Amino acid sequence: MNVIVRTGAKVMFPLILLFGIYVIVHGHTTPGGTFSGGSIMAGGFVIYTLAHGVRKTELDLKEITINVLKSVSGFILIILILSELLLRAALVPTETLFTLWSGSSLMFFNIVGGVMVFTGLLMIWYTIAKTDVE
Amino acid sequence: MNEKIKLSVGLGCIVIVLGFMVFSIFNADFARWENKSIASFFIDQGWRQLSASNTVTTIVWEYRGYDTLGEETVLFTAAMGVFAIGAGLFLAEKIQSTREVKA
Amino acid sequence: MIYEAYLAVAVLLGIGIFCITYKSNLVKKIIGLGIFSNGLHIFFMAIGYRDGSINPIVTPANIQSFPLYSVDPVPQALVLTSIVIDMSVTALALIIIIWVYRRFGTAESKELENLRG
Repeated sequence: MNVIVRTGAKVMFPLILLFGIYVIVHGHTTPGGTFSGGSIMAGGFVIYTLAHGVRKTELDLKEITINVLKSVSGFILIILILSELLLRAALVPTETLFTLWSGSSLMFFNIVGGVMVFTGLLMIWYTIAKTDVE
Repeated sequence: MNEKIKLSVGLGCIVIVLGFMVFSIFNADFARWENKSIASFFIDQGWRQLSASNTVTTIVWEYRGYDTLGEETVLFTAAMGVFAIGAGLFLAEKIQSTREVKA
Repeated sequence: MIYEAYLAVAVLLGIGIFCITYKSNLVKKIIGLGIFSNGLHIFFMAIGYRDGSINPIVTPANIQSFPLYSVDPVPQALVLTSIVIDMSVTALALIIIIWVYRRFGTAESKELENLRG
C-alpha cells in the first residue's frame, strides 16, 4: 500500500486500542461493555492488517498467543459467573456511586468478557484473511 | 416451475411487508405505556442493590447472567469452527499443488 | 413522533427479503440476512420507547426522577445477545462459502442447482 496509508495506520493503531480498553473498563458507568469495546479493539487490528499485508502482521502477533488468551479468558469467565454469589460483597464495596470503583464485581466481568470477544473476533479475521495469501 | 415458485414467494413477502407498514402507521400505540411490571422492578431496584450506574449492564451480567454465559459459549464455538475449517483449507491447497507438480 | 422508526423497519425488512430470494450470488444472500436481522433488532428496541424520556443511566442530576422518565432497558439487553449470535452465524457462513468455492469452482446458486453426482 501507499506510504501515507501505512504511516497513518501505524500511528492510529495504539490510539484505537487505548479507546477500546477505555470503553471496556468503564462499562458500568457509561454505555458500552464487552461487545462494543471488543469490536473496537479488533477493528484496530483489521486496519493495521489491511494497510501492511498479512505476512508482516504475522511476525508481530503469533497465532498461539491468540489461542491461549481465548482459552484462559473463557475458563476465568466460567469460574467468575459460577462463583458470583460468594464474591459479590467481597470484591468492591458498594457505598460509592457514579465513580469507577463501584458496582460490585461488574468491572471484572467486563474486563474478562472483553478479552474473550476481542480474541474471538481476531481469530475469525485472521483465518479468513490468511486463505488468500500466496 | 422454479421461477413461478420464486416469484409467488417474493410477491407474498412484499405484500406482508406492505401490510405491516400500513398497520404500524395507523395503529402505532406502542410508545405510550404507563407501567410495565418487569421494567419497573429493574429501574427501581437495579442501581440500589448493585450500586452501578448503568442499568443495562446490571441486567446483562446480574439478573440475566446465564444468558450471557450461553452467548459467550456460542461465540467461542463459532471461532473454533472457523479455525477448524480454515486449517483444513490451507493443508488441502498445499497437497493439491505438490500433486500437480509431480504429475 | 415515533412513526419514522416503523417506516425504516418496514423498508429494511423488505430489502432483506428481496436480497435473500432474488439474488443468485451466495455472498449477496448473506448480506441480505444481515440487513433483515438489523431491521428486526431496530423494531424490537423501538417498542420500549416512552414519550419524552431519558436513557437508563443514573447520574447525579436525575437520581430523583429516574423511575418516572426512563426508557425500558430490557429489550436493549436482549438485542445485545442477538447481535453477537448473528455475527457468529455470518462468520461460519462465510468460511463455508470459501470452502464451496474451492471445491466446486463456482459461488452462484443457479449453477450449483444443476450439479449432479
